[in-house]
Parts: sequence; structure tokens; C-alpha cells
Amino acid sequence: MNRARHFLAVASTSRARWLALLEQTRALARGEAHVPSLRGHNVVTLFLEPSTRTRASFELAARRLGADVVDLSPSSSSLVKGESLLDTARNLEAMGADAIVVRHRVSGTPTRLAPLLRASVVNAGDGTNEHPTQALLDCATILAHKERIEGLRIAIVGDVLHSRVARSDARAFAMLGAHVRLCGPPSLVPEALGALGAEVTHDLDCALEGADVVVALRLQHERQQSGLVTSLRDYRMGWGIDARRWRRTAPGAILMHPGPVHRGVEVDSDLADGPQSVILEQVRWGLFARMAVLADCLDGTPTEA
Amino acid sequence: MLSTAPPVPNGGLHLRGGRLLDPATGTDAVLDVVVSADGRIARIGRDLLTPAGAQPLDVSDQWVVPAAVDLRAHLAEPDDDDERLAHARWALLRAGIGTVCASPATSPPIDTPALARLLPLRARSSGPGPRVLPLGALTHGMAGERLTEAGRMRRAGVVALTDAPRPSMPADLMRRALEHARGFDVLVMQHAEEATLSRRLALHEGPAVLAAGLAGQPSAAESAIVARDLELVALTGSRYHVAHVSSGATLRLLRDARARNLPVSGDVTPLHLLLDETDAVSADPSLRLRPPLRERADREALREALIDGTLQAIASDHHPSTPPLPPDAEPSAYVPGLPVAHLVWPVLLELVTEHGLSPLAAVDRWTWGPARLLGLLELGRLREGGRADLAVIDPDAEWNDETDALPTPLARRRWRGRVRWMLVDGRLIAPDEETGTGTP
Repeated sequence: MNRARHFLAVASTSRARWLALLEQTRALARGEAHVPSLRGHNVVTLFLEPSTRTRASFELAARRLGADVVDLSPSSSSLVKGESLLDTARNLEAMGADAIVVRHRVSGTPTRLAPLLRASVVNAGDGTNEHPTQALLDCATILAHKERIEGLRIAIVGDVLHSRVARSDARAFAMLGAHVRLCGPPSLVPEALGALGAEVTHDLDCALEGADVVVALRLQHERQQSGLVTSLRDYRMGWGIDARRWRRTAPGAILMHPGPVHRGVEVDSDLADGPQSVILEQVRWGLFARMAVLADCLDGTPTEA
Repeated sequence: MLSTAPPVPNGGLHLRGGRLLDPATGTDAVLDVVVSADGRIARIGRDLLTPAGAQPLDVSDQWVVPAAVDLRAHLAEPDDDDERLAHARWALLRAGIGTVCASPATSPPIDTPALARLLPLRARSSGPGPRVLPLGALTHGMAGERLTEAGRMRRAGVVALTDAPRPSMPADLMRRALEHARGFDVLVMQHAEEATLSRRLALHEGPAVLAAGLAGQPSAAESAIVARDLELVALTGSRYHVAHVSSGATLRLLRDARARNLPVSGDVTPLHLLLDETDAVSADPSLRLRPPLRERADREALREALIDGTLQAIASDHHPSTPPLPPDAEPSAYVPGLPVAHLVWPVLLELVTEHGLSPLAAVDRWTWGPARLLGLLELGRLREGGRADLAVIDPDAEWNDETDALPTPLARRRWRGRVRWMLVDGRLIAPDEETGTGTP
């Protein structure tokens, strides 16, 4: 019964599909690809966690493809009134939603929701699990600067434990043959995270040594209250990336960050704004990556309303 | 419907040619059993003659074993109707269980003598099924603050005290609980969980769980409590039992404690023997348990510990019906149990064929082992003059679970080992027949 094509996690995406999506993302950006039409398709964005940038990026992507977009922001969502997520999703489906773009604060929710629906489910970030479109746009960003991802040394630095970007990135980079290092304090980068296909280190200098790509992660202020970091100053001393430490990276290394950047904590301002920074480029790639994903899920051909 | 099971035929019953396994005496031999009309074992012996009027039942190639003694299962809520209770007991009977200790984690929890008397009383009038023994809460409301009355609970029939699956109480209170339990000779069955470490999470903090972006509790949440408790056992001299052990670290502590001659024991559930954290993070969220499913190495250690006797019992932690968790279940959401009592025999038989558990030890962990822990030396054994609580197991019968009550990793499995006959309360029952009206 359920034939919908979903986009749920890097972990459940084949390498072939990933490479096809990446190629389509790049073709769309070059203006070479024939833009598939999603005219007559309804895309619903269901963001149950605050987000402006990712939601806007998905909306723009859907509109570029000619789809109709309905946004369900938390304030208008009946979930607030106690309706279950499954009921809400089924209602949206009954109203003709072809794709539901979900962000949820509980890890795994889109993956568990998908088999219960006929509509395509696109994961726009689930808890601390995955943010697969971010990984797609990160791969595209890297390819704009490096010839290939295979063989690159990529360091992901910061609060890996709470980062869905880190999990999706690490899986995607490893799938494409990069050497991935995860780095941060032991409280935020437990050894067991090596299961992502990466090397775990708590020494920032080791992580940056010879790195071609550095992905810095946002450190939430709350981590201090829960005792996971002693203080922001302490954190910066151990794992903040500054110009001096950047010297260890390979020539031509690029600095990435999923944003918003916490300047002076995880990364210094002059680096975030310097020539090595590709942070704003990432945002630009986001639009094309999400267009590629929506077109792939909905097949680019309109269905009967 | 369920009350129509016929009693043992008037002239008694003659089980012929079965492999009799009785761990209490270490018997493993082809022996006949004659059961008298009043439901007692009249004779055990080789090639017995069928007494006049007795019904012969050919059980060759089958195991004749004591009915199981389940240390923990959820039966029903105190105000559930009789039908629900009857069905819950019937399901346990089909699993080969003759005696079940009913979990006190009901609403309200079983924390007074009056509440403890209720379920066994109602069970007696709800048709054929296992004998129900009450477990009592260690603390009022299972809130971990004020101890229940161990003495009066004991007199009301409570066989052990437990707050499972609530986190463990502070050390000073645990010390007193152990002292009172010793004073009234009742077993303390600890759910070992340090709440500040576990944060009440129902997943293990292991590679699969972390990689899936889920929050989990470390094994130390269990073993830190057990390490503490063992020092309290040394201090108080009380008997101490760890319910549903989940980690290899806890097993090391239990081995050390036994080497120190401390009176400690432990049990394991079929789910913890079958599955690990990778199953808990698969798409189905209903395998979030307390304690959580841990790593493969833990699962292997649990199997080993059941085999070498570090764990004396398997306990089902059966729950008749658990609604599945919603797709967006919170990380702390968990299921109180699953309907898995009927998987215990297949799990034990798999340990026999695949992991070198002796048949006698397999029977022991599910019958005489738990009976001894409870000090109920008339149960879990087969002897002339004793009550004929027994099961006939076909160790080679293969089957699938046709209900959809099991989560995906288990629903697809093929199981080996099935209960063919149950003899409880002087009634012969063929569990495969839904009606319970089996006749030989």
C-alpha cells in the first residue's frame, strides 16, 4: 500500500541515491538541470521545534518547483491542543498533502511516522539524530571547493552528542570515503560515537592536523547548566577554534558551520568571517539540496488532486 | 469457557515414556508418572503399569517437568474485570507456568496487606491457571520514601518485596528495608537503578543508541546500585535478589559477592537474553524497557551467567497487553513489559542446543531455582506424594507467534519448544486448545 518515497536519514539512504541527489543539487545550482515541476503537488511543513532558516529554505525550494506550500507552525498546530502527531499527519494527508516536511524534537520520529503514511515524509531534523538535507548541502559545499570527498580529512568539532548535523555529516562523509574525526570534550563526544564510522579524539590539535575540512558545531548555553561543560571560557580554551590552531589544518582547508555561529565560543570571529569560511555558501546550497530532495521524493510529476 | 477444563480422570492419569527432568533431585531419565485423582503424584518409576481406571497418556519424546515458577509477571490491575484476569492467567498457563508472582506495580501499587490479598483471592475463582502469589511494594506508593510493613505483608502472603521498575531508593532507606526483610524473612527483589545516572531513560547509553541520536542510561546506573547494595547486604546479612539483571558489570559484582558468601541472587528476562540495544533503536519503539536492552556483550554475559548459575532464575516480566508507544514517544517513555511468557521455554531450549546449557539446568532456572529463592520448597519439583504441578514440553515442536503482540524483531522469529500439557490444581489442560477442554 505504501509506495511513497521518503527522505529520512543518511543512515537509511543508499550511496547510489545519495550520489544522484548530490549530482542533481549541483546541476540545479549550475542552472543546467531542467527544473522538475511539482505543479499540483502539496507540500506541508510541519515544524514542531522552532526553526526559521530551514523552514524558509524548504518553502522556497518547494515554491521554486511549483508546489503549493502550507506551513503548520506550532502556534497554529492542533498538536498543541493535544492531538497526536499521527492524527495530525493523517489529517494533512486527507487534505491532499503529498509531502510532509517534519522537524521534531524527538529522535527517530520521522522514521517511525513514515511507514504509517502514504505521503512522502522528509526529515528536516529529528532531535539529536539526523538532519539529512544539511548533510546533502554540506557535501555539495565541499565539492564546490574540493574535487572529491573521498580521501579528505574532515574534522567535526564540538557538541557531537547533541548534534543531528554531526551525525548526518559524519555518516555522509564516511559513506563517500572521507576520513572523519569527531572532536570535543569527553562529555560531549563519548567514544561510543565511533559507531558513526569516525575516529573519536578529545585533542583538538590532533583533530585539526592536516584537515581539509573543519565543521564547527554550535554549543548551546544550556550545556553549562547541565554540567556537560564547566564554563564557556573553559570550553573555548579546550575546543574553541582560533587562528593559531587553524594553522594545523591542510593548505586550502575550509571552515563550515551549520549556523547560527556562536562567535568567540566554538569559533573565533576572524575565522568565521575569513577567506577559509564557507558558512554563507552552505546556506545558498541549502535551497538546491532541498529542491533536489523534494523533486526526488515526489518524482517531479503531478498527481491528481 | 475456561472453567470447563476437566479434572484428572476419576481413576487418575498415567504419563508414559516421557523424559522426566527434576532439578530438585537431579533426575534426568525416562520415567513414568502416575497422578492420582486428587491431583497428587502417586508414583514415579520405570515402565509402570497403568493403574485400573487410570487414563494413559503417551508422552514419549517429550519432557515431563515441574510447572514453572515465575518470579515476576503483570497479571491485572486491581480493578480489572474477572475476564481480563482469567485471560491473563490462561496465557501464563499456556506458557507452562504453575505459580506466578504478581507484580505490585499496579495502579494503585500493592503496598498494603489488604491489596496483597486481593489478586490471589480473585484468581482462585477465575478458572484454571497458575497459582498467584503476591509481590509487595517496598515503599508506599512505590515512591521510594516510606517503607511498607514487611511483617504484615508477609502474613498476607507476600513472597518478596520490590519497587520494580521504579528507581532504587536512597542508601539509608535500603539499609532499613534489608533489615526489616531479614526480620520477617522476606526476599528483597531490587530493581537496581540509580535515578540520577539513568535519568529514567529506557535505552542504554551504547554505540547504537548514541549513533541514533537517542539518549540512554549507562550500565553503571545499574551496577553502581548493586555495588552499594552488596555492601549493605554485608552490613545487614539480609538476602538480596537483583531483578532483571541487564549488564555484565552487575554479573561481575554478583560473582564476587557469592565468592564472599553473601546471600545474593539474580534473575534475567527472556527479552534481555534475546535482544540488545540495536533492536531497541530499530523503527519500532516498543522495545524501550527498564532496565534497557544493553550491548551484545552484555547479552552474551547474561546467557553465560544463566548457564553457570550466577543467575538462578529466568523471570518473564510478562505483561498481557501493552499499547505500542506513539511514533514521537519521549526518550523516557517505556513499556512495562510485553506478552512474552510463552517465549521462556524456547529461549531456554535454544540455550540448551546452541550454548551448552544442560537440560536439567534449563529446567532448574524456570522451576526449582526460583522456588528455592522464594523458600517455597514444595514448588518447582516432582516427587511422590507432592502436588502434581507439571508440564509436558515438546522440545522439538516449531511454531510462529501468530498474534501481532510482539515487536518486529521477535514477530518474525520461528520458535522451538512448546507446552503440550499442563497439570495444575488437579486439572489436565492442553494449552494449544483455546478452550482449555483438552482430553488425552
